[in-house]
Amino acid sequence: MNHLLLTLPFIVLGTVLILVLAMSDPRRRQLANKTHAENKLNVALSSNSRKLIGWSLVLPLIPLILMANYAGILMYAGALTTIGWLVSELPSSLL
Amino acid sequence: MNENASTIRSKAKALLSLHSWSGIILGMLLYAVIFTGTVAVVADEIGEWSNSNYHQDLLLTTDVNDTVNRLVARTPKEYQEEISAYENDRQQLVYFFHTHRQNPSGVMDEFGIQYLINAKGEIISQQEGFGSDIYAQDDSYALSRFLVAIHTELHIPSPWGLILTGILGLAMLIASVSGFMMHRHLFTDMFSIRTQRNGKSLKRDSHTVAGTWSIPFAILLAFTGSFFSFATAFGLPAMAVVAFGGDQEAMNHTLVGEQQHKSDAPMASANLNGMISDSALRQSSVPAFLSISHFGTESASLLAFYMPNKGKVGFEQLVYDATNGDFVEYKPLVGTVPSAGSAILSLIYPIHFGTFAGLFSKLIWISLGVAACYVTITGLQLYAHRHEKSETSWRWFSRMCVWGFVGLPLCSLSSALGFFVSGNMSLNQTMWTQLSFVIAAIVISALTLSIKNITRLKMLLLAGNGVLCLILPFLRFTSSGIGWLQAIQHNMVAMMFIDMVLLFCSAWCFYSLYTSAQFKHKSVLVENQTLNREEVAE
Repeated sequence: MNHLLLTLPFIVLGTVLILVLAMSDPRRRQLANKTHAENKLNVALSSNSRKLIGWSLVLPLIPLILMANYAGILMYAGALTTIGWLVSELPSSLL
Repeated sequence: MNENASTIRSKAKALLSLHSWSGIILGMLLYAVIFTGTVAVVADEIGEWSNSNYHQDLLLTTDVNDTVNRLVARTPKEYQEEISAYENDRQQLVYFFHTHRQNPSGVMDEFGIQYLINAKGEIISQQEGFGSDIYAQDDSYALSRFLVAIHTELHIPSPWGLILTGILGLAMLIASVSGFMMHRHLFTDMFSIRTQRNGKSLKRDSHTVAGTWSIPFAILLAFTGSFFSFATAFGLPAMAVVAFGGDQEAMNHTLVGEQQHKSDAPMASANLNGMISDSALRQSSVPAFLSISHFGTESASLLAFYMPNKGKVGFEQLVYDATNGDFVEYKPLVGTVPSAGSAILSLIYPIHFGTFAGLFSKLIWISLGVAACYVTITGLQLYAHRHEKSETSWRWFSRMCVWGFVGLPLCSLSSALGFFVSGNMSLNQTMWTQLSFVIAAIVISALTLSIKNITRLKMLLLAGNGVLCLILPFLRFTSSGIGWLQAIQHNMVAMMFIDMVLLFCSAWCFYSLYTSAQFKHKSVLVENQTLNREEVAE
């Protein structure tokens, strides 16, 4: 059970990073500006910062490998996939 | 420069054709395999839920040694070659004393006597026959077995069903890879879904965004699924012919890593309980099943099989020398010595079905399955939307999409309804589970052909899904008398999980119906206002 609990903080961190990436996505902001007068997407990040955040999604794999938590690696990757998809599906009026 | 651009354009066009045709031709069957695959992830939980059961860890809590010795005394010598033991979904231990023979289909099978033993060690029933036949008639697994068989072979006779699902896996692989290659703005479009004028998401964007996110796992699941189908359908038989001159038994012995000729000289076996407890201590878990070979002889051995735990992904097999009870080795899945092939093979099943970290990993794998279903649905809807603009015709492709996408879940839920109703009436649950699916499929097909308005058809089928999702937890409760309070007391997580999933799906169906009705109501209002304005203008 411990290895499952150890994976959870990384999944939460991944979720936060994905949310930041979605909120600062220029294409998403562009589309939101077209449809909504009031724009809730107010996180503006440079392209380099976004790349850095994107790459930092890979960082949790290092401790998971060091802990030999291979099940955790698969769960982290699977969770990021579904969370990323669900965040993308959220309407821009909500996020 | 122009030549370059036209080459890129023609390549993109070729990839789009490959992507579209691999999806359109096999799309509906692919959806059936993906949907039932998503259900198959929780097949064990469905088994427990359908019997309102919880595992009592009987392999650890009962006297296995005493039971085996009692059963050995009443079982013919020829069936004592191997004994498999596991806990079923009705709080019984299943002991199968067997040898190996070719079944009428010409496939190597287990043949012997199966005993069902309750927690007190009493024999409930015994049955003689081939292992595959006994399992196929076992009512306790009727529902989960039926749903898993749709996923693995679409209920088409072997080996054709396996070959078809293997081809479907390859089609999914082609669609995933071509989708990845032809999308020029893979990362820039990852978070953006454009909306139509009516506020609904643009189908093309929904398809590409879900596809983009799920590409790595779509490739992984398609490859592992194809491997399973093709390895069983002709990989192993071909290996038996090429490397073992058609001798399937010799091939099995080599793959399993057993000696072919064992001594049958009698020798008292050590206490099995001690070996089981030792293996449980080493793994900090409970064995999924036991396999005892040549019990009471000089060659006696015990193999304890464990599901992945402690952060590992592959299965574990612990082997004991049953003559003295000593631990021998962690046995590889294939062969006698650890190898890369064996390690990879032991990973394929847990990775394909997400069974490596209990309910937590299964929950993530279900989500991945839902994402893959969504990609298939939106892909076919996109094709229907682009090619069937006419509102007046029957729109056969769109009709087929509704029939398949909303109809298949309804048929699956109907099979669960058939399972419970036949169980309450003491009928053959195996037969009625299958029959209920077929009856539902006929009714849904008839409705699809008789209701012209596709939206009305979709809403009717969606309502059917919602009602059945709502009814099934109550039906389970009435058939077993086990409610949520008892479930919490006995830590019946699997049962509560399936109940909650069904109630969630029911709520989602009714919410979809509500939003569809609201949307229709708004459309009518807008239409009326436009007509009024036109009348005033005149």
